[in-house]
Amino acid sequence: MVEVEQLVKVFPTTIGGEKRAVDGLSFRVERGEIYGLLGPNGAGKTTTLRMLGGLITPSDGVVRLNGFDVRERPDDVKRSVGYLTASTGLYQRLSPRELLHFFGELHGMDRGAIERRVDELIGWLDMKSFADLRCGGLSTGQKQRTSIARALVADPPILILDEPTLGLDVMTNRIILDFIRAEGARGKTILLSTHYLDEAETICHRFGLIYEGRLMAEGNMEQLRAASGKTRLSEIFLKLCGQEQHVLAIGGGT
Amino acid sequence: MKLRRVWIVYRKELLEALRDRRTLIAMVLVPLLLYPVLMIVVAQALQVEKARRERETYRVVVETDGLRRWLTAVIAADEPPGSESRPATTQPGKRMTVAGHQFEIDLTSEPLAGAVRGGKVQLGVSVEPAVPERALGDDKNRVVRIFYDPSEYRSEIAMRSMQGILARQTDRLIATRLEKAGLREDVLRPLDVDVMSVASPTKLGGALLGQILPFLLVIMTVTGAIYPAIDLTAGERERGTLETLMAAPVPRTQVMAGKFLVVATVAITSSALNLISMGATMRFSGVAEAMTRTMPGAGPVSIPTAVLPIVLLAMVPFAVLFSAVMLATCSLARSFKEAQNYMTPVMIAALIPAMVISYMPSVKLAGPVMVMPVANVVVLLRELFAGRYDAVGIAMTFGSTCLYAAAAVLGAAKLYGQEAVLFSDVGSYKTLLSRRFLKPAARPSATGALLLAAVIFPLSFYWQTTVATPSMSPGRLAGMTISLMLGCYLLPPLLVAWYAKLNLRETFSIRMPGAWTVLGTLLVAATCPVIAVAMSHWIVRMLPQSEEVSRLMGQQEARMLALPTWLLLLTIAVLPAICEETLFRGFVLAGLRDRMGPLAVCVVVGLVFGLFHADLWRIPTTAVLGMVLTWVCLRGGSIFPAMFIHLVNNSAAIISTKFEWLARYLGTGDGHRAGMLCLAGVALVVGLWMIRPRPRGAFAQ
Repeated sequence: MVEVEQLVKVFPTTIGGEKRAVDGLSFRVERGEIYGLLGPNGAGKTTTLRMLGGLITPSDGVVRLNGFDVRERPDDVKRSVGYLTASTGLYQRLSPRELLHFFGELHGMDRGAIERRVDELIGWLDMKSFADLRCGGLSTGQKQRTSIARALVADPPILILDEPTLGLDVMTNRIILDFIRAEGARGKTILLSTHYLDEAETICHRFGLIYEGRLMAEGNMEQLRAASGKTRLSEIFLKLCGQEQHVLAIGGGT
Repeated sequence: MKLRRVWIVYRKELLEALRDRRTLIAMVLVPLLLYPVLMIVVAQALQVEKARRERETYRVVVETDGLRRWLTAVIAADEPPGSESRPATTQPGKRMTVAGHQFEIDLTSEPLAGAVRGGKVQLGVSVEPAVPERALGDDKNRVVRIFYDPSEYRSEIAMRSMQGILARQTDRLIATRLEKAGLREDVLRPLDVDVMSVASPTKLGGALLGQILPFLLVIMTVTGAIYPAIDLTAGERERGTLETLMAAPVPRTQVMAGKFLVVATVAITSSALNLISMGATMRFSGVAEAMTRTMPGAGPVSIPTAVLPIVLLAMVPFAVLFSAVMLATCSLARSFKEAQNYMTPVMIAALIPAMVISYMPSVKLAGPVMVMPVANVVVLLRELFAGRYDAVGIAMTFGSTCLYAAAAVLGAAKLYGQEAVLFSDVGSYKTLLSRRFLKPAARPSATGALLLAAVIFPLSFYWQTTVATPSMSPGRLAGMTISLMLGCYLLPPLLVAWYAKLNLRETFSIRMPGAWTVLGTLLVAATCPVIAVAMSHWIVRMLPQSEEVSRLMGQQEARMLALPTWLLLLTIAVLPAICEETLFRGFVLAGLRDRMGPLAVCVVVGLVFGLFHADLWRIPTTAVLGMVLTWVCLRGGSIFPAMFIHLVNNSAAIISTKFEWLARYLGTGDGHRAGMLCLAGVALVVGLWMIRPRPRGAFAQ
């Protein structure tokens, strides 16, 4: 389970001011739930996910993952989380299999458990054809599958996925979305951020819409439709963020 | 620190590094190919140059036909030593080969200086008074002027060759004159000087190698480590894998330790391969013979292969230091290109001292040089090649380099995972050091503590070995000691603690000790000086001091004892107790105590404290005293008992010179019997056991 209460992240600026990238964010993600954190560029999604993943320290507020406070037990938090970053950066001179072994060892898994888990992930994510090639020569889709496998190697109870389908072709997109659904069905707590709202609509159980570091709306599709009077997630998003008129004006619509 | 995870990171990074073509080229290919290829190129270049010179004809002009004939005859009669060339002809205007050089002598009507300056001829020669027809001439003394242009290489060579020819002609004329006068030729040589070299061939080879190799080794070690240092830090960030790695459950320090070990492995391997390649090239390429020729009368030169493993060992701390410095520097960079730019000053910082020291063969491993980064290693290598082993120099070089390296590794770890460095979109580097952005903290970090010690160490050492000269007056020496205590040991930790917004009570353990601690402190203070004096005696017995050292130490002691007692106590006891404790048991201990167990922290702080005393005979005793004081402060939770014990320990030595009973108690004369020392040891242990935190002390938590 993920619990976020009044989360704040303030970055100092060099001219002496402050930038509140995340401003009092609160939400919960239950076990087995897929939660979509949605928002425009610069809304604070990635900063929020980085704080949840223990990469940066919150300025204020409480974050608990799997019952561990991110400030007090950062290593336990990292052990509970499979974190997929927005970039598909991989170790160019290792093969996907070697890379998965490396991260499995960092999570303290023994050799036998790693072997079994790696074979399992290679099968699930259809990675057999490239599992022993160097990562430097893989396609974007193959790299993304390797990254997801890397996040899952220790079979953590929580998955944080930052733009998991960014720049992927239709086939790989389908493999990854099916996989996320399957992991949710297996009882994992999944928190994902994406710009593809149609895609989010199909796999997320609940949504949190953030804008300028604040949570503008939260709920499942029915709740958001009721609150906004719109049917599609993209329309709901624009309406609830107060950007609908702005977009219409730019597009010259009526 | 969990070594298993460091090993996992190390193994993975090393595998990646070994799969990287650029690292392999810098680490293996360059050393193995560079020296043989360099030797071949240099040898061929020399042969080409020799052949070119032999083909070269130098034009000489004279003003009269008589002089031309005379000079031609002189050159024809010349018998250069060791030369197989003979004059081809004695006809004026034709080429003649002498000592490998060909001359062509012509007449000129213009002034000789102008003719040479014009560049078409290399030399102009005039003789006053005019020469006779016959080469060996009459009994008159003459002045021969050779006009040449030193800015022209060919003119310079022609001049040297002509000088040799004329010098040999002068010898022949002297021989003829002596013969005419009925004198033996050796009448002009009342002293025949024969220079005899006593150096063994290996020592000679070592001394010659010591001039060249340290500089090359420094360059090649630094070059070998650059690429992996950039690739493992800035490269990782640029490829987008750093965020992934930071998300894994491994502390930054362990990640950085693994990476550091890889860079150090590559640097040390690079050093070893360079050394092997250099040694093999020199042994098999005839360089030894060439070196023998450069030192006439010195006997054959031999490459000292036995010294190579020791040299490699001496390169280890250097490789470790530069690996750490490079990692720390590259940790600041966000891209490969940026890291390459940062490497330029690091390279300069390594090369300039190495180059300067290479050109200063008289610099010895003594005084501040022992703690001067890079310079100390270069001089140490030179000494090792020459077969000189100085224990103090080796210990100080290793100790200081390891201290700097540890600070640099921790600095790298501190920088590596910083938010501002990790993500370019969340802040600037300025936020890392600007006081405005620093968050208040209870105690300094281990990095901060070691960095401060590493910065103060060379300053303190420089002061102790150079500023405080043996000829200084007692008053001035006291003034300098006070300035050292305040300027080096007290103010820096206080200023840093203020700037970094540290909690002063926590950092400097400012707390009243409990009753048990007070009792224990009294017992330790009473016994510690006895043990310290016994240890000092024992060390002097184990490592006897030379007469020179004993004399200098005696002089220094006598000068200090000439001070008024109050000033002596202030300088030797009160200020060290306050200032040194503030730095070591305050700042340094506060930074390290969360990073290691109580015993380890006592040993480390004690060793650093000992190292600061910069004197082989004092280091062991002060290190042990430092360990005891660290234990007292750590366990009692207060800095005051450590200050008190330090004060009593230092005062006892001074006061014992005034009171006979105290001298007897301390054993400053002939020392104590074993029984008394055992008793003191037991009392010391009991005292240390009695020291404990106050029941509700925050420190205990």
